[in-house]
Amino acid sequence: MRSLASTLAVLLVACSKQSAAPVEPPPLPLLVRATASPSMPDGHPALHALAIGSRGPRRMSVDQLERSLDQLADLPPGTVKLPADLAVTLGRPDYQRVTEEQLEPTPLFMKFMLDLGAIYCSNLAAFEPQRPAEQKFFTRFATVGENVRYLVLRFTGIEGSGADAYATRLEAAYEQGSQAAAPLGGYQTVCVSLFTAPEFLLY
Amino acid sequence: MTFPLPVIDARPSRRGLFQALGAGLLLADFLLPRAALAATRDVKRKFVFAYFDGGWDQLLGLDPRDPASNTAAAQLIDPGYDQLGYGYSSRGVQTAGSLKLGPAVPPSFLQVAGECSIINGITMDTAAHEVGRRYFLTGRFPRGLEAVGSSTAGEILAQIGESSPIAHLSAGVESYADHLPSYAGALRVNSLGDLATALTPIAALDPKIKAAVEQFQDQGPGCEGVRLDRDGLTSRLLESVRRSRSYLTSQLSSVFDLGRNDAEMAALRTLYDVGAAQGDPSAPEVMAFAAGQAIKKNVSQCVSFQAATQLDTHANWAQDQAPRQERGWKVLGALIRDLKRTPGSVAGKSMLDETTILAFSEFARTPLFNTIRGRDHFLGNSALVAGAGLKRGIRVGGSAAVGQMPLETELVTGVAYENPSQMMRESGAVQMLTPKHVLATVLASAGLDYAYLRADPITALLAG
Repeated sequence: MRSLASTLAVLLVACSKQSAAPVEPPPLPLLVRATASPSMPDGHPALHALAIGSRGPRRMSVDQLERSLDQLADLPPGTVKLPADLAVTLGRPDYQRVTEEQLEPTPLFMKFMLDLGAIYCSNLAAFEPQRPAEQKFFTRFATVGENVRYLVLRFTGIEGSGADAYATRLEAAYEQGSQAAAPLGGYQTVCVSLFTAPEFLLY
Repeated sequence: MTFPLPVIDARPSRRGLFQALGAGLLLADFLLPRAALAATRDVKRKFVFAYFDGGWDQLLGLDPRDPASNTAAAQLIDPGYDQLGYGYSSRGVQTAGSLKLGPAVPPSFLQVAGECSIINGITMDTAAHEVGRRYFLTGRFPRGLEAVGSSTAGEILAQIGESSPIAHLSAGVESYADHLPSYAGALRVNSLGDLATALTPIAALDPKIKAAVEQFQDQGPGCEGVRLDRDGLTSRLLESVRRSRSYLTSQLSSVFDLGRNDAEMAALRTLYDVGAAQGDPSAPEVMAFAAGQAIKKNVSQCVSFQAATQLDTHANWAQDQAPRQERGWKVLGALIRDLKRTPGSVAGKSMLDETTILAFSEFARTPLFNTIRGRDHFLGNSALVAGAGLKRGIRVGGSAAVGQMPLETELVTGVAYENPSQMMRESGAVQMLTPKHVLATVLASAGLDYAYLRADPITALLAG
């Protein structure tokens, strides 16, 4: 072992001797000047304090709304089609006078969403008995709590613990709406509430 | 050592101050006096903005020229009245008091022209429809095609507050409300049908379901909704829900029900010539009717409506421009007559005395014809104002005798100058009129703050 070590030491010395020929010193590494922050105008907030820029939330376009309503009720794509003049009212461009979609959640839009929600949800309630058990919209599960959570998921994509607060509030709405004479009144209440909720209409 | 100082008018103007004291004072703009703030705000004032869509030909309307003394070769202005159809060509330049109006203005408007004043020689700095329209709506030059700031109606409402169910109604006209209170945002409709949709429940919810839904909505957003409120969108949505509910409870639909079978509605159908709309719920006659009702019945404080459509006559000018523009003047005349005959809130005053009206278009049309006998977009423009806070029957500003380009106007006198002196320019006494000046005048007429426009009002137009 000792002989091996001495042999290695000799080899190393030999290697170092071979490389001991005079060479140019390596260039100094580039000096990177570290500054606290670039020069900014007076009053500009610190860069590290600025939020990461990303697009802000938006309202669903009319096209997105139509497709969402197809998806919600498991309808074939293209089933829900709003009349052309109504779509323009809701913000869709007509490419004559308006070329960009108006995506503000205006009172007119929300009024229409309430109307559309009432029609859509009551129709779903009316057709609920005809749906197969595995395709039920309102009553797919055994308990109200499960069904409410399922609706929250269908409308908003929120599930798990994130849906807890919604489920609590919507179950209260369900109880109140259940007193209505309308079929599945409690579930219709949940449906219309979610239809006009920011969690459904904004993304 | 002394330096020569430029002469400053005794009445300091922004331009004069800047030029005299240097650009550094730009930062001290807030130090300048704001005359509008000193005046009493008329919070009961109502406003109507009548939009002529497409770019009107001012030679046929607000800035006519005598064909006998204006030729394409000499003045670079071709009135072209002889090419118009029967009924228009014979009108020529018409006179109403001291105002001169073109052949597209019908006799029915001439009867109320004395209630109006004309602003000529407005420079638009654009020949793009969207830019011109948005410039006149907001008083701020758009960024690209994108509107900057808020509609003037919204700015007005932010100052005078909300005192009506639909404070801002916009019928067929774009509207913008940037960081303004929710009531300043317009209920924007494209037709009377839309308005009926907004004011009438389409689907009746069971009362118990309705109550439960409203209770859920009133609880505010959940966690995800709060996250989506980064730019205030969730708050605006929930406010819109509350507003839409209030529209229904206010039961306003009968105010706009043209089919109502009573004497009042029959008279209005005749006044606005609703039959000419031929059932089109977005026709100018119907829009003007809605504007009049909204103002008279205190449904709205500010109304924007489309008074004329399809004025963009690059071709078929002789056939289309005059009748389409005439239609706009007819409905505007009907609206003025309607307001004038309706008693105001003060004894002896009419609704017209409590309402300020501005009629505008995005720009005018070239004074010379193109190769297909149409007129293209022109940088110059005119506007018409009427009603409360403004002098009536006068004309301010003007356009050049040759080429009809806008002239500089003395704001105090309203006189346009072909060649103002250097001193007048430097003192700011004469300025090139822009939509900013026009809108500042509208705001100043009600004692409202126009500082955000960074332009002075045309004081020659202000009454009192």
